Amino acid sequence: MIVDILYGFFELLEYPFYRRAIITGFLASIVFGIVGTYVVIKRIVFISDGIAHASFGGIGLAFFLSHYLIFSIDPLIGAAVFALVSAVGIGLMSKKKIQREDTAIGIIWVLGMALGALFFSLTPGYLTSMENVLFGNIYMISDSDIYMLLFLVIGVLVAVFIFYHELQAVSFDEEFAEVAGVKTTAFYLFLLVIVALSIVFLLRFVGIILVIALFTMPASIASGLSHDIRKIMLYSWILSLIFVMGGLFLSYLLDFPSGPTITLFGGLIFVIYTLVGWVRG
Amino acid sequence: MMIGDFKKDDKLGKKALTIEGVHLTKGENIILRDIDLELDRGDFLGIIGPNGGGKTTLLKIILGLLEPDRGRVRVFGKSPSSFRGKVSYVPQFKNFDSDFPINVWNVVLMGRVGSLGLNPFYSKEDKIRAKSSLKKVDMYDFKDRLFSSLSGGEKQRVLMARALVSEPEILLLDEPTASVDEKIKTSIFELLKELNEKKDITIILVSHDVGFLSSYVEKVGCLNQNLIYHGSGELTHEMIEESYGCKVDVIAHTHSKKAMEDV
Repeated sequence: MIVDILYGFFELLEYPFYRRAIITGFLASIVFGIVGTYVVIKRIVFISDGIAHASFGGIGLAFFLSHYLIFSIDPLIGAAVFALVSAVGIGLMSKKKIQREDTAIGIIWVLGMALGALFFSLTPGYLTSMENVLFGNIYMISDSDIYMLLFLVIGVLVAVFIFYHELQAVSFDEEFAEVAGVKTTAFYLFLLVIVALSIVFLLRFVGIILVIALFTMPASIASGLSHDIRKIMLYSWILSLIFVMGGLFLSYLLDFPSGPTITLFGGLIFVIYTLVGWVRG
Repeated sequence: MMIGDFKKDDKLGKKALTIEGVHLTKGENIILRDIDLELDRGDFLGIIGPNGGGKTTLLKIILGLLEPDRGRVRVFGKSPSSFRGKVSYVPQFKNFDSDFPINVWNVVLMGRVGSLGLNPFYSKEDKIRAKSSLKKVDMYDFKDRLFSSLSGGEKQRVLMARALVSEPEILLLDEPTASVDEKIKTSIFELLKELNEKKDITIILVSHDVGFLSSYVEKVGCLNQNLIYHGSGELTHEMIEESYGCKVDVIAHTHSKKAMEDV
């Protein structure tokens, strides 16, 4: 049995797209572990999900334009533009108290989705590409996607190493951080921009609807295991790695789509962890 | 409790704080009405007033966290946002996320976070200051404890230590003695008095604790939209009544601490 599974695993490595998926999964778990920790402790889950959904509008626009123009636009570029604009937009609106934060998020969320749905419906043969965007498709991962993700991972690691204490202060007590001389608005927007870029770069891996699960579930479990943010990041990375690799392998064994399988595998562990914690009191 | 070696910045002028005509509305409600206030360096001002009277809001305007609709705040002649790191703040401990993963030591070091720049680590000096600040508030033994697991009074003292670590010229405190027992209350006020007298730190303290306040601070103001402040230590029945808009049973201002404890 175990030998069969191991054999299956090595067999899986023979497919180039699975190799790419596994490399992507490894890099993605670092992003999920570190960025997800901030998403959970700074309580920006809803904002992050809003950004993810809003990026759908940009993807739809890119598909639409690519179909009707003579050149094609990478959907990731459309997603990046929409994600960044909505991240900065939501961040500034709540900071400057122009609009209630949750209202701003809800509206930007659905406007992005509506635009996306409209553009996709105006583009022939949209259904499959729309599904890929929403739920991810590891067959679509290219080498350039991996390089982009690698740059993101390096950027995140360097930024968190240098600004660890500033990010901790901004997450814990934004007002005091500001008084102490930290540019809190800049750091908050920086955090949202990292979240936005992470969502975009992982779009082909898990899709925009499922991505928030992997930003929250590992970090949420990890935050119950330690009170030190650096350790939470480490545990969260390990958990993400288990979720991603376990989910990928299960999807191969069962011939299920990878995005939903990864999410459900992680969700199962999360539910068990939460229930056990609840029963134990 | 002892005081470490604060370096006094003699280049700063005599006027610590100037507030001119600060006015703030929210929707149709007036939060602060044409507030004027001047404090010299080394002043110790207590502000009392009812809930919703604008006390926390005024502190946030002085800190530059909120912009008034009109009026001007100057801290040693500069705008609050261009004078960061020299004004520190002890917020109400109730406002903190009860799940946030951070220990006491890291909360206190946060007082130095503005000086890090591109440096990823706190310096040895930062850590020495954090240690001495924690000792000043008798919380050094708690340094590895999770902040959210502390009692109200313990959190309050840690937040005091955090503010002291930044070696402020001006210290603002928002209800520092709320839900704290008498013994700790006394030690907090004694520490503030010492910082004020020996280090010339300008202190503004917002409190409900009229009794304690008037036995320690030099100047008292009442805030309820308007700031009623006569520039002296006199806290009269009239001021309090005018401010709260109803009769409040407070004994007259006195320096006898004993009399205050009977309130």
